[in-house]
Amino acid sequence: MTPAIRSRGWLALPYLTVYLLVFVAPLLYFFVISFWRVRLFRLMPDASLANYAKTLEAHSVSLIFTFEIAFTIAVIVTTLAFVFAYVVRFKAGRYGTPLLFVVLIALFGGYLTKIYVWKTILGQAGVINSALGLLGIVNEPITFLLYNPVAVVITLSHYTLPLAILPIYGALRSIEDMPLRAARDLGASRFRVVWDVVLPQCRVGILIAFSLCLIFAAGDFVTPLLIGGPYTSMIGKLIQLQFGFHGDAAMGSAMAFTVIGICLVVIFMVGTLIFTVFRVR
Amino acid sequence: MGHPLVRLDGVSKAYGKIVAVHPLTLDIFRGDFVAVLGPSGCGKTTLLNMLAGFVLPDSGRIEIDGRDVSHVGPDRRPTNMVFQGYALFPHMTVRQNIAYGLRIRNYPKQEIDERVGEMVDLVHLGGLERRAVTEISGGQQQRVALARALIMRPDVLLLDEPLAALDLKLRNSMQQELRRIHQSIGGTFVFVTHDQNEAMGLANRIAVMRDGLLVQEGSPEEIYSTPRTQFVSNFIGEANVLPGRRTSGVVVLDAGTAFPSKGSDGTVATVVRPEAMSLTKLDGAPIEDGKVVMQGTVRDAVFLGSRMKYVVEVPGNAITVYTPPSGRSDRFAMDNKVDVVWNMVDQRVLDTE
Ligand SMILES: Nc1ncnc2c1ncn2[C@@H]1O[C@H](COP(=O)(O)OP(=O)(O)OP(=O)(O)O)[C@@H](O)[C@H]1O
Ligand SMILES: [Mg+2]
Repeated sequence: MTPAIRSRGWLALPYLTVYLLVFVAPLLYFFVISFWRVRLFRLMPDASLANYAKTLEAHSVSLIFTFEIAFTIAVIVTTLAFVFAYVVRFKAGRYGTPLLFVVLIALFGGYLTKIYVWKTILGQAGVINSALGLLGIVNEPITFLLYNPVAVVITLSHYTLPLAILPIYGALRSIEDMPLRAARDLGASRFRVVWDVVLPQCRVGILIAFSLCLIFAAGDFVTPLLIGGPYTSMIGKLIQLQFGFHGDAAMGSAMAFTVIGICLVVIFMVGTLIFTVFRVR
Repeated sequence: MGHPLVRLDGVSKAYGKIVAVHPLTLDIFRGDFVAVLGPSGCGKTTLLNMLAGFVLPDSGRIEIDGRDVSHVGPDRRPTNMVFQGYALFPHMTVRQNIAYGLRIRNYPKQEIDERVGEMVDLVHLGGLERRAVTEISGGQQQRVALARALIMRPDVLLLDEPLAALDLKLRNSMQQELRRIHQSIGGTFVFVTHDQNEAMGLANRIAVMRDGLLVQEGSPEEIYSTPRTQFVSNFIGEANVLPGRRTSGVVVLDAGTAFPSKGSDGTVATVVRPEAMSLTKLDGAPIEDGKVVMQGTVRDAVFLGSRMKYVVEVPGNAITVYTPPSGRSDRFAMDNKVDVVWNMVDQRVLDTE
């Protein structure tokens, strides 16, 4: 590092300060209190793992269910995002940029707006039911579309798709065209080119996309609340109850950090898998 | 010569309104080292891409070793390419790059190792096998690209301006390398270049292209000594082009000399290579039969080591003449009158309309 660059290190200071104050500090605070306990609605310092034990004991079903859904969403969305980004980068030619722009516009639509869009599409008086009724296929509106885990998967997939496309597209952009041709020339089928040349070069982008989806889906509590119905008991809903209804910030924190922990473990495992499967041979 | 290995028959390609390659017919024989030579944008890469299978021709037929490959994809053609800019796999090591084609074909590991070893020796890359291709020099990358294609033992090796990105010194040594490799493996090479020296130095046959047309094809000597058009003569080496007019079997040059030449009446261009000309002072002495003489004034004289370069002004033109180096005393001095002389057998008279 040259002195000129080192002396500019202070430029990062405002950013670092904000980051430490609004992100790291609160996170540390919640991490610390996750080992405390609540007595008569007051937080008491402690150093026990009781909250974590209780989380695993009382909420394991919900945790497993949450991560099944989150994992499903992350896999579906990452796959779709790769296909979309691949088409935009390599196949769409001059339509690539407009397509990408559409993705960015999709990011502007608010979170709640999207939830209500899906409510409108899937609901009893919704688009699908009206269409089916008009066509005379059903007499009674079908009710199994909404208020179930599948509706949650659809809604959250729709929401996280643009978030997953961007990191993958970013990774694909730095891949050059000519080596793909070279691979074809050396005998690779179109599929082999993707497998051997494209995927190994965008592993990080794929992992980032997967992580974003997983973390978002695992921590969300609004979608399950509004669309998931009574039997979709995802952990986010329960954490929110701990902080709100039960007023037990210690327990809530322990549950939240359990979710973060599981996320990290899943990301690590999926990352290892991606880096092994798409390794250079 | 027998049956050609590659046969291009009326092959053409247009991109919208732009015709990149007009219907073109060319035979390439086994063991040939063919240079496709032409200025930028004349369709060289398009032609090579049609051979490789990346571009499907609009019309015509491509045969390799008797098989019609016009509609066969690049992955199933017996051709391999060294790309403009190399197109190495940036996420692989030197070894992985070279081995890639064989790995695709599921060769046993032992055979892959053997053949990679052979290639590494052939292109002198020993010791670099484990390096990332992003961490080797341009010349070394060039060798990797060559090895990666050659390891497939293609019927035809295609090279798209393989040396263009290298500096002059490296380019010269890589030219020698290419010649050595071509001789040692005895393959058929087709390479594209816009550098006529490279084409002359490497190829045993040259195909000159212009605006999507194949203008002339032949051995380097043929193309150099008997260019079919003015474009070819200018493109291949230095040439003096002297405009003139032919009337009933006699050409009168604008610069003021005349000689007999068969052909139809009309404007002509007479092409003479600078080294085919010599300078003398005739002082009114008669010229020998079969020679052409033109009077001019020396405007520049440069000693180039192995030869002298003179620029002689003649009416309406400036002529370049190369002569063997001479002692300081018998050089032609600046602004002196001289006679430029050449043999009629060394000139080419081309109809220009
Ligand atoms: N994919 C394409 N789309 C449209 N036009 C193209 C395409 N590829 C080439 N062309 C046009 O076809 C013509 C021939 O191009 P080509 O790349 O074959 O030239 P080249 O002789 O290889 O030139 P260079 O020496 O600069 O590489 C050019 O006019 C070019 O603009
Ligand atoms: Mg080209």
